[in-house]
Amino acid sequence: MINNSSSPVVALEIGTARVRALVGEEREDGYLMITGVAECPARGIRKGEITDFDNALACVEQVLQQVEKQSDVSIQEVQVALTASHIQGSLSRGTTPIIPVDSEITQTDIDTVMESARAVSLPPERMVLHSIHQQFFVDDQEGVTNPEGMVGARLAVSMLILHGVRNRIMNVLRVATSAKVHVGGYAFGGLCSALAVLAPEQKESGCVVIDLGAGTTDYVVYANRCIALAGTLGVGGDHITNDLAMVLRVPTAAAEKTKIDVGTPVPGEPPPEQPYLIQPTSGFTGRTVRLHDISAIIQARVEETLQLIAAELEKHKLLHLMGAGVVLTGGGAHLKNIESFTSSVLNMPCTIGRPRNVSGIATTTEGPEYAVTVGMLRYGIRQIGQRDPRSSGWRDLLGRFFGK
Amino acid sequence: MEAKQQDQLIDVSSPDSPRPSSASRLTVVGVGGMGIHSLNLLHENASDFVNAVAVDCDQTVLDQCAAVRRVQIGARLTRGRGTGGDSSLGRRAANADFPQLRELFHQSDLVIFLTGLAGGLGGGATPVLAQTARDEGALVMTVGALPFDYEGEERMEAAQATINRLKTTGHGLIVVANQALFQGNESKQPLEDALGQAARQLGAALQWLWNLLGQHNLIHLDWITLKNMLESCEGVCQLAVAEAGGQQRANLLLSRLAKQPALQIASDAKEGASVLIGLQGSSDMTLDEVQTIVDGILDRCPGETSRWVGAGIDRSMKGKIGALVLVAARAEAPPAPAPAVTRVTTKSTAKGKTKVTEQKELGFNTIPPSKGRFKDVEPTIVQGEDLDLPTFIRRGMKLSH
Repeated sequence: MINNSSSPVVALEIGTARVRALVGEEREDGYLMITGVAECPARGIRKGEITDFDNALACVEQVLQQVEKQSDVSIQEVQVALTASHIQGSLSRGTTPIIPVDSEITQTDIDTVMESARAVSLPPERMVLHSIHQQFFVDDQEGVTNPEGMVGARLAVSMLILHGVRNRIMNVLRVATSAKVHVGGYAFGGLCSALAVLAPEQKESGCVVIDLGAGTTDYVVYANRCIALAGTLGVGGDHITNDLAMVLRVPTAAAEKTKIDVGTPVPGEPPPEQPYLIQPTSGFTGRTVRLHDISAIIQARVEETLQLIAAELEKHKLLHLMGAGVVLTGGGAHLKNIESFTSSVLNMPCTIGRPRNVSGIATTTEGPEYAVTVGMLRYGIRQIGQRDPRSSGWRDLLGRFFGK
Repeated sequence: MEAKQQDQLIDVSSPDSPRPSSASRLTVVGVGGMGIHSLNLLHENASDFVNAVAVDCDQTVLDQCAAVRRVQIGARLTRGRGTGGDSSLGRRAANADFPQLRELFHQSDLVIFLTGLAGGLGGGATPVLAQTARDEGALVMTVGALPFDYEGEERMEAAQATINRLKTTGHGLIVVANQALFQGNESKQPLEDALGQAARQLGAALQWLWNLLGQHNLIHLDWITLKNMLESCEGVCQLAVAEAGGQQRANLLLSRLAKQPALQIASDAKEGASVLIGLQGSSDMTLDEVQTIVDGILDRCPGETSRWVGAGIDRSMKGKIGALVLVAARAEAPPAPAPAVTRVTTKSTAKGKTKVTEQKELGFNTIPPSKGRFKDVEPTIVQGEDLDLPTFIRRGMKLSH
């Protein structure tokens, strides 16, 4: 039953709110068998970046120990999901002449053009995380998925390059290596989310996955049968908490509890005029506010975040291609009425994305907040599969994100 | 007036004037008959300042042109003759000689194409060339001339099709209505003079643009300015150029600009417009005059206007002020206005000194509220707004009690 890559794979997400680890394997039918889950509240991380190394390391060590015990494996290697506001997507294009003119396009031409598209000039402090090919162009013909064997004078390819600041990425990975595990691979959290929750039909008809994390909001856009755009915005659930704390003048912990208990971007149920008591804690005497105000503060933030992402899609003329609408993942997807609110702001259908095809310790990992970690596990398993000598280049690269 | 203008062009290209930064290279490409004609006139006046390339199918046109590099494309397809206005032939010609074309744009930072939008090569080859230059990493602008009114509807439609293609392939397109360039001139001017005048105006505009962008070490910021401008308007904008001297030169300049269709577009743009104003004047140009001209132009734009202003002193202009205005109507709602930066550049051609003073307009009430838990991390700034501050506060919302 178990896939040929015999040993279990470990995925690690060093998130702003939670550090999570998953151990699992892929069955032959494509389902993930989860054998270990652990999480702990994160400390020393803001907006997906390490601000206190020792605290972050303690969290990672704790989580790895727990998951080791639970799944009864000794962890040598982890796959790390990265989310941080410095991760950006840029579109690149490579072109190569076909020599002699109007002859048949070969795999060598395809390799050359892919190479030229990958050779983007980034500022020296940045490194490429992913280069994902989108579509080929033969002369003036667009939307070619496989140009091999076609005839033309020139071949071009468009690519999505995801890149981030090298040192800051290394700082995250160093937390893992300091916990005495080897980093086998890493990937952008937004892509992981999409990989975990999307059904093939959704990718076909075009959709945007928005991962409402604590520190950042990541988005990945599928359109025209490829990953058209991806990126991240350094605004997340922590901002909602902070907004509540600052506007209502209550401590952060009380604001966080308020958000979880009654937080919604849509004033409705319970009646908005109803007062709500923010419970007193040590050093805070408690405060009564109106539910209407709480949702107004949250609404302003969520609406703005969604609109910024919509503007980014509109800029690339992708907004009208979202046939399957928007899929929300991440802890922010737990906000009450977020589906209907998102749907009304973006004017498209909205669903909550939960990890698909997962079995084993499934109940905990089925929530939208587990999308990144589950996706990372899936990505890691495929990447380890790729290390086999028979792996074959660019088609797999696409298949990893686009395939089943 | 013409002689003066030539003086100025020659002066800037003379050896003791500061060269545009050697790190950034401009290539001007004339495509097709119309483009090469403009290129010839530009090249006569400023052969040092541009790296000029002529591209055509027709060997006889290339033989008569002054550009250093002449590239014949599609020789087999057209047997060395023209395309006869057939843009699909123009496109095939460019595709057939693609490797040769790519070489042209190596190491160019800015590539400007001059072309007639309704021509066979202009409409067919320019989009291919623009895409090629863009793939090579250059910022690509096309200065395209619309056909004259007497050429008829069909040609106008062909030009419109070219505009649509260039929207996606280049970074920016500046549309020049040739017909309109005459409106400021005496009506009975001989045809040759009038055409020459039009091409020279275009040449001067390009030269000013290049001066404003390239003459100081803060160059990078300025490239981004131009790029932002082009991006904000989906890449199509209109150009107005004028020059004036005498006592009332600021007002005269304004009235000359106002006659041009670019300013008409700005005044019709209900949703707002993006305006880039470049001023070049003699050393006695005053701040008042700059203010008058900029205000005068902006007064004609009723909607919310994003503006970029640059001004440079060119001693050789001898009592005159020249302005180029790029205008684009905006279709969508404007982004939150970032604090406008006005740069005044003083260039002394005699000594080659460059002094740059930068003024930053103050933003609207900037009382920074506390950022709570995000005060120690890198802020998330999008379009000039600090997103770490509560949206509720930034939008000026109030609690219900």
